[in-house]
Amino acid sequence: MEGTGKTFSVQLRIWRQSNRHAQGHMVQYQVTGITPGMDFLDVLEKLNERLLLRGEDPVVFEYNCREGSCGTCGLIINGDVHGPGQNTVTCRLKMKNFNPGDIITVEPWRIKSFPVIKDLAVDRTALDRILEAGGFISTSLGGAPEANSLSVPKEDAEEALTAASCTGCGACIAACPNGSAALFIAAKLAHLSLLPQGAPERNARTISLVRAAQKEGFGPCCNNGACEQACPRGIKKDLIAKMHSAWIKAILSDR
Amino acid sequence: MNPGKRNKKTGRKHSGITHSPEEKRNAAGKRGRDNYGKNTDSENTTDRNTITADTVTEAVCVPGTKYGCTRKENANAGKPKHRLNSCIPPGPLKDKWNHLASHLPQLTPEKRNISNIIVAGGGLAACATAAALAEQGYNVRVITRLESPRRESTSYLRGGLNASRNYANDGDSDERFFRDTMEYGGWRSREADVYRMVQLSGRVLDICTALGVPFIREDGGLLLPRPYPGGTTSRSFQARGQTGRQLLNAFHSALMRQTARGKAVIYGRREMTELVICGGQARGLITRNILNGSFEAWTADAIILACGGYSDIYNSVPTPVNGGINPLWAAYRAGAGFANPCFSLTLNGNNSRWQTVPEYYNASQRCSGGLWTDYLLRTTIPGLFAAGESNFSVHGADCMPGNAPLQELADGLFIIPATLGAYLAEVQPRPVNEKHPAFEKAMKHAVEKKNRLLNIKGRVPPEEFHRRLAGLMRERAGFIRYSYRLQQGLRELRQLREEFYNNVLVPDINCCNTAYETALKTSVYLDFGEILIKDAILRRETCGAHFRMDYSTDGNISKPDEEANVRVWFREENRWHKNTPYREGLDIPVSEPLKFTVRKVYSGKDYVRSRASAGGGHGRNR
Ligand SMILES: Cc1cc2nc3c(=O)[nH]c(=O)nc-3n(C[C@H](O)[C@H](O)[C@H](O)COP(=O)(O)OP(=O)(O)OC[C@H]3O[C@@H](n4cnc5c(N)ncnc54)[C@H](O)[C@@H]3O)c2cc1C
Ligand code: SF4
Ligand code: FES
Repeated sequence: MEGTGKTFSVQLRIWRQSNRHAQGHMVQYQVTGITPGMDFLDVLEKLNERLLLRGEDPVVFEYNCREGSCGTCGLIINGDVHGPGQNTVTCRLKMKNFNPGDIITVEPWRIKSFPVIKDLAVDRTALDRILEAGGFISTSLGGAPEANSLSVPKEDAEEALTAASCTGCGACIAACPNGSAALFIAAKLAHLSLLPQGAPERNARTISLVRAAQKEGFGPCCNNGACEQACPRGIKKDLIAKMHSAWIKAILSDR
Repeated sequence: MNPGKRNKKTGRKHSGITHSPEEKRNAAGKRGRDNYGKNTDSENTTDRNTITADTVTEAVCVPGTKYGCTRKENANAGKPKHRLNSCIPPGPLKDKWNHLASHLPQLTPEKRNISNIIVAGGGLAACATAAALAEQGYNVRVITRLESPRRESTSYLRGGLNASRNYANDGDSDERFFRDTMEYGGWRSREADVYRMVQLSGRVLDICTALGVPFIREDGGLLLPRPYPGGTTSRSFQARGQTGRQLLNAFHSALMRQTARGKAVIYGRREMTELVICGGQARGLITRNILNGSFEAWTADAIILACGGYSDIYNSVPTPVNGGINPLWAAYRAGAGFANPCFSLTLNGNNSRWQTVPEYYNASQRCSGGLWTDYLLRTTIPGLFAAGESNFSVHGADCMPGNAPLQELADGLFIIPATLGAYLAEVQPRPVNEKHPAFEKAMKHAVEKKNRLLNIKGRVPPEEFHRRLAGLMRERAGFIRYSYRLQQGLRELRQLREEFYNNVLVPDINCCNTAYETALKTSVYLDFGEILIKDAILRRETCGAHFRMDYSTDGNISKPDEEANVRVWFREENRWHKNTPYREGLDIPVSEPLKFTVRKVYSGKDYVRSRASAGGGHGRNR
């Protein structure tokens, strides 16, 4: 299809909300001149340029790297977190996934703990506050034991790396019916606890991260696996089961 | 001619590279004139419109700083403007840093507890600097554009982190790493700075590992370094194509530990637009709050810029959409020197820079130029430090894959924490508050700039101008550069600037005004582009990611050492010229000559060759 020079148009139904406290609503716009190779975000940009020229407020949406590594972008498109398909990311979504004339609904992450800033942009600082509660290895920065004085089984290092690839995009939370941050926390805990460097603080970390998530208003895990399908980094939900058992261990040893 | 032997006429050391007579003639023929119709043989001509002298500098220190300078140099401190002294400590290369670090004055813990520091930016360099300073007891405020430092552009980095640990037993050492790095940068870096970075690489690796960066390991559980493309030794420690994400996560977590202790606070979604100078010292910032459009003033005892680079001027994807040009430009306008702006493109992971020109040559991922800093990472404004991509410290050397994160971390973890304390101990900044006239002036400038852009009320969205500017820069001042094309670029840039100030359309919105941000950035790039192009015109050689076709010999590097210098630009505000409308000041270039003590002094190659021929026979075949 690409390269034929044919363009098409789609209708975008976009969530417009002027600020955190305002009432939001859907507004429909037509965008023309789309090619299948275009990024979905390019279409939004195109729309914005037109809105600007017409003297209307452009649609606010966020992105940074446009290649799936920073975790800034994130939209619910036709009800799908990060758009159609599993383990995708909004900034890599191409227009070839849509048909000419489609009505595409675009919404922000809809979670109480991620208040809407404006239109499609949400505030995800709650995730940073969770990490602040203990998502680190307490080590001073002046000097550390020689890197190779520590041996980490290769499988553990690989697993830790997979868990650590979380970008903090929040898709798992947006996909969860309960708005649970379980996958996000489980990934952080797995990353740090699998490594011997992080082992001493394992119990305290587990308890403080889980409690911080509760405090931020994230729901409990409902085990339906939507998070796993939404995660652009392919982080698996069995980490959540591991987190649950680590939690029980931590609570018991805390007594 | 033997390498190192002095040329009788010029007294210069010969580079060890001989040019054939024909090459010499070609080079000479191309040199004679440039499009301004001026003789370009001397470095003195830049632009007929803004006549500037390329003053070769005398040594001078920024006031109140004496380390590493001789007494005579110090006596000059603070006298005329635009003088540079790199403040490189005496002694053998490998002892310079250790010696200096153990002699720098320090603040007492009590004093640190009451010192307020601002780190502008939120990438790897900023996180590392802020975490290290907060750990020492400073009160640190991190001011950054994005919501969380975890989303910063360091996360795009795929390559690896270099460290000269020789775990692979392939003959790596500080010395070898140093020479490789210097080669990669075309001998356009300060050797002392590079050597220090190399020396610190092992400790950086240790700390990353301790913080939980899951580097790739061998079956036996120890680290498995990889060779970087084109290199001979395995010194790149990687995390499966997402090293940047992992390093950023680690240092973001170290920063989180400090925010939990209350020693650091992150102020996200704020864009720095002005730097405030009180009594000659950098004492504050003006930021624009992205969420409500208001301007805010911040005071501090010292400021560290770690706001990344300016590769966004080329708008190639992926490029940091919030490149750090605004803070860099604010510092430049306030009097900081800007070094080597023409070194702006580097090719990530591409080892064949010199031989072939890859298709994706315009992907700009790291700017080697940046704010000029001395050995102590101080800019020319007292109290203003620059770390990571924002400075030019290991300029050129950071083209080598895996050196970028190393520089960010060495700057942030070790160098700034040592030199900042020395500055504060010596200068002892007096308290200031936002009522100081300098703050009011800066605030006024920020508001005026905004109103100026809003009042144009033209017909063209700012993004369109940014795209056109990027196209122009790629076309005229991309990887491959010709004098005439650069000149043409300069003229087009000025036209575009005029058009921009007549026809840009900026909406008046308070919350999340992305169009305004783009307009502001573009207006700055339109000014900055001018020094980038002029600098490229002045640099009559091929080196680093600056490929001057008119100064290259058969596609290879040309006469690399004869003009080894750092070109530093200074701005004189409020000097207008009729040929540069819509600009607020004049740019003056100054040079810092680079001196190499190790270049070609020890060449392992010569040693091997001489042995082979002495052994007779087979060695000659090579
Ligand atoms: C796509 C890509 C791939 C790369 N790959 C490699 C690689 O493989 N190997 C390698 O060695 N290097 C690589 N690099 C280079 C390397 O990633 C960067 O040089 C390095 O991350 C810069 O780190 P930093 O901390 O100095 O700046 P950054 O990470 O850029 O952080 C600067 C921060 O300052 C903030 N900021 C900017 N303006 C303002 C403002 N006005 N107010 C407040 N805050 C502001 C920004 O939000 C940004 O977060 C790559 C770069 C890119 C873009
Ligand atoms: S676990 Fe996956 S979906 Fe959840 S925040 Fe991390 S990367 Fe995003
Ligand atoms: S924009 Fe960076 S992950 Fe999508």
